[in-house]
Amino acid sequence: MKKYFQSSAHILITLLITSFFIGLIVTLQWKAGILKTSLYPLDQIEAQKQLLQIFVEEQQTLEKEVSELRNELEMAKKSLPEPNEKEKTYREEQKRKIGFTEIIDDGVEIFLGDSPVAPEELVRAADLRDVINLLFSSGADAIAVNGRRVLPLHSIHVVGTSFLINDFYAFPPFSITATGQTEVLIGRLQDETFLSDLRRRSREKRLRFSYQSRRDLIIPSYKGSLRNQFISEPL
Amino acid sequence: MKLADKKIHAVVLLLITLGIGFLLALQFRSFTLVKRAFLRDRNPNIFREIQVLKNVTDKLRNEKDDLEANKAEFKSRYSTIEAVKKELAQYKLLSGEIAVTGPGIRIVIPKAVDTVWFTDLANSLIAAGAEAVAVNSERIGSAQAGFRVIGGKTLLLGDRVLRPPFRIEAIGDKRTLAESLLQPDSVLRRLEQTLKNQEIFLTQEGSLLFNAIL
Repeated sequence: MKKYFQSSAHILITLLITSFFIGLIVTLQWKAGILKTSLYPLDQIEAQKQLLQIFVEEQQTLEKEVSELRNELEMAKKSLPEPNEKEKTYREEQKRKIGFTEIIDDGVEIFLGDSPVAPEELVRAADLRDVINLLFSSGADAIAVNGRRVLPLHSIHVVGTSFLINDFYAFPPFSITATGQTEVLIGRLQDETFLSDLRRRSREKRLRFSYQSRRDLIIPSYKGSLRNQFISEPL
Repeated sequence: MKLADKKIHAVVLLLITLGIGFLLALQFRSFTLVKRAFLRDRNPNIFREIQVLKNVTDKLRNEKDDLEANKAEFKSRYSTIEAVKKELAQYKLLSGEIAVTGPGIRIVIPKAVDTVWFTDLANSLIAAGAEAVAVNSERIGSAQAGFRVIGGKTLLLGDRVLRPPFRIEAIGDKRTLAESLLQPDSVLRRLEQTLKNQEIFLTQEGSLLFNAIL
């Protein structure tokens, strides 16, 4: 009889403890959000991919048309009388500030690529943003990614499997070139307090990250879209 | 205790243990998904991707329309000169040579946060169509760009020293800008979560003024 009660007590305690944990887990799970998903997730993903592809193709066509129109306008301007030297200098200075002129100067080149050993470890848009931010904050005059100019006012997003930098697409590996005071740029890149996450992932071979100083880098002029629909001169 | 009873108890315990294991696994997955929300760029959002692409496409389409209108103006010498003047005026607006104004939004961050938050906020605003962005009235441009928080309290924009509270302003379609930042997993929402009890104010403004970049 005593053994029976002891045995029953053991079982009861065990059941009580397990019930407590079940209750706790059920409570936690109840509070966790439910992920909304379609009944046909694969169809939905496929439709979204197609929509992205349509946008990408349309953008490529528009970019080409915008570039052609700009060239035509430049040709048409040549028919005008030459502006005086002061006007010309002023105009070129404005274009340089915006990024509409090619820059040839010494600087640095940074290489950023996916992991050489782990296929699931990829370069992120945040990595590109951090490197470009560091370069601008270090006084870089001009920056390009894979040969395309990036302005101080830029956005970098992952869209599908590509990177959208303002309105051009880029794919890893990335060659980021920047002109400016080389010793300052290299000094910042060598400083371990900057880009710590990137450096750590590079040491763990989850990313490829390297840099070097370069002479006579060519940073092309900005080819993207710049529109001022909302900004205007104050009255 | 009878053998049959013991067997029943054992089966019940086994089932309960299996249930716990299943629930634990589900809970672990929930935590993983929540953690992902806090990581930059690790939570792909197809709708945001589509929105970003749509903004870019709209911008390109509008620019194409403008350029075609400019091309039409290049028919006469007089209108060509006017078109060139208009182009120079546009350059001055974009370069920061002159002050600019326009509708937009304002975000006030009460204290210094990590540099990446400023970078990501600016990134989101520009992706949503911001045409000019300023922090504490200092406009981002070629002469001042790049964020760096030093000492945990001060923000450098280029070589401009800025102190909290940080007023981030963006000129553009104020509704689009506000909506993009108020989405559930936006950078602003994630920043609010890290600041816990401190509120970040976002307001839509009819008219913002950014000084010229000196």
